[in-house]
Amino acid sequence: MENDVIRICGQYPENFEKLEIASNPDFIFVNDQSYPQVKVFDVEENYVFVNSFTECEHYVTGGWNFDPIFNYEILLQSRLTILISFLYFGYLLFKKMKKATF
Amino acid sequence: MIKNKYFLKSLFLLTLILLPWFNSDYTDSIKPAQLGTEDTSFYEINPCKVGFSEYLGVDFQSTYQDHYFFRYNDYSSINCFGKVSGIALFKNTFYISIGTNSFVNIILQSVFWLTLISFIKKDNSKEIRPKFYKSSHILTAIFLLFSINAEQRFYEGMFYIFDFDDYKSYGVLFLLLFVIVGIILEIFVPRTKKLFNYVPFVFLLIGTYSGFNLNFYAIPLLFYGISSILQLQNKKLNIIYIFFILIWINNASNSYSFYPDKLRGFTNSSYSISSITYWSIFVILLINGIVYLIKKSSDSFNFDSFKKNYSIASIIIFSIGILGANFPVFNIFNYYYFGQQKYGVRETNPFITDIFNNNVKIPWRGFYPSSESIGEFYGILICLIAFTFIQGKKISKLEICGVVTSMLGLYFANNKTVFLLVVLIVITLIFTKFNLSILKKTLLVIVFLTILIFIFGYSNLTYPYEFSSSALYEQAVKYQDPSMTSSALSYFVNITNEDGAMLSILSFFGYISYLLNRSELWGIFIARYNPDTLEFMFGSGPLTLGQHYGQIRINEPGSLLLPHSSLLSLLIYIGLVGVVIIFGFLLYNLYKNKDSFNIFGSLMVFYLITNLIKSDSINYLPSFIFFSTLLFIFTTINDYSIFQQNDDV
Repeated sequence: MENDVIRICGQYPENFEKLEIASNPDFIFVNDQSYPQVKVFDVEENYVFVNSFTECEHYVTGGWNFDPIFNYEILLQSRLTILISFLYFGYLLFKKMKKATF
Repeated sequence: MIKNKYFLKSLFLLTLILLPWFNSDYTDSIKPAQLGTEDTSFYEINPCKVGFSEYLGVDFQSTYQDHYFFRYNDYSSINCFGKVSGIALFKNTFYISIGTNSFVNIILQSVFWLTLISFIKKDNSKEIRPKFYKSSHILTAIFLLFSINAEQRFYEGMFYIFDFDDYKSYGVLFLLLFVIVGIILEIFVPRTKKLFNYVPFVFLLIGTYSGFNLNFYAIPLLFYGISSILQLQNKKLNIIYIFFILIWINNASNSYSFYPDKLRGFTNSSYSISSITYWSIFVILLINGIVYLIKKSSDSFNFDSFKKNYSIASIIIFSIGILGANFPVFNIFNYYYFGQQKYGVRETNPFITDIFNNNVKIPWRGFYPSSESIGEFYGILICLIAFTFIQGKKISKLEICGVVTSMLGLYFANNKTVFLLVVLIVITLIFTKFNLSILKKTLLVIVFLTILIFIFGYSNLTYPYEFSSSALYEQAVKYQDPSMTSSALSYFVNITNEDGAMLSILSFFGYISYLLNRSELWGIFIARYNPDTLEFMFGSGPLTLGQHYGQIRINEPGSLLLPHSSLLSLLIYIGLVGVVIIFGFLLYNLYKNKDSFNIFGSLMVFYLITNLIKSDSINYLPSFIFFSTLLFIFTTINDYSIFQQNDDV
């Protein structure tokens, strides 16, 4: 999960302390002017904009760690690998069968 | 049937060249905009929306006008492959970025190169399949996977999305590499015996993967290297080498990174324990692989076939160099489909001279990343064909074309040493072959001396020795940063203040550097070279320049300037002990085989060694493969009557 936080929200700030947000229903996130706005997604590709590292970290650790671009790319990489593997192993099988036949 | 097969393969090649650049969503409403004005906003708003072919369709002038530069951006998504990922305007020149993806590149480029290699007929003999085939295959894939991890910093900038900390990512990559290695072996192995005569093509099909610090030829060589080691071949060499590896790894306490630039595919991009481990093993596997291949395939060596292929390679390299310089679209396709480490030169006039420096010819490298190395390549072909001609054998039209383009290429590359060596070799061959009168002999000597004086410059030869020999020292001091001094320069300064035998040796070295026009480059090397005693003796690790370029700050001219001496590169890599071992081994082989090569063989060995001393050729994989193959032929193989003159056979 820590890797996801770094990938989506950026590096942890120095002396970062995780606040008890879930147990505090009145908690309000304070905008960090120096933090560039980040769009985070859940698994259904709903999204929210977060305006501070604390808010981003809270969302990401809470399951809003879905990155459509990342996942789409990983999907394409996997498909590409599977396709070429299929062709290669298929060829090996074909060669073996041909050898066995003749 | 065979013709049909070749036709299908050619069609497949054409498809591989054209199809990837048609990748685009043709159903969307985004239509490509023409450049031509200074407005690039359309492509800034719509990155990866327009296919490269779509763009060329509306802006065809970009294929031939000299103010367009196409460049690949390997850090793009798979979806963006073959599309315009951005355009920038700088000083009235358009820089058009074409999206490519490292994962797609390794597949597409491998398939393209393998299809070309598949035109060579197979050898169906059974002994061609090396022992430990499967284990070597798996180990090669694992080793390549290790390279990704070892050079993480380099690949972070090349892989669009890859989680270097996640083992699952490595799993997918391993499968991909395993399959790529498998496909390469399927094509390579049955043709192993026939590849020897095609070695000159490594200068044309350079084989560097876009987005990788890896070369295509390294893969089968690593495979053969692993197989050779598993068969316990070259035991002495491997045991000595393990001793070196331990020292290199032990020395790697600091970390430096190195931008590979034109050395990509054959250089360590960082100085760290893992990358040094990788490159150390890489080099020994490569050497084992080359030795294994030469032993297996040298029997099929055919001088005429070799020259024919050499001539074809030379003509194509020359031609596509000219095309790439004049047409931006050729420039970018050359890079991808020939696997260049660096884009071909964009200077359209190969005759260009420096008007601010007495109209001295500016080297024009054309297609190859180094003008020096390509000059050496052309020079060897001229020597081989001159040798054939002097022997009274027929020269084919193809060889005539090859020698003419090589002469032009050599002139454009402006490699004066090669030119001088070629003249020396030709004159010596004429001397030994024909019974010339004293007058003719004198004339030839005068011709050679005139060329020698012309190349070195009359004024350079007339300067006092004290002046010429101190040029190296002065250049080293000039580039020294006042805040830090390298250990080599400190030593140089101390020696200069004393008057001993070492000063005489260094002065002579300085004089040679002056004559070879290397004072500045070797001076920069001294200003940078900062080994401790152990590093001086054993080096920093093979193909590892990170420490050399990162440790000492100097007042450098800016761009990457290599030492311009393979000997100095070797000194960085394997230290004095390594250099002595290599040269000792070479001399031993020369002595052992002294009866098997005649004057031509000796001259060619002299040619190769002279060039290794004054050029960076050892740092380019094609040059490394080609020159080590030639050196092996000239020094090791006893029954090479092919290189002997008719009288001796």
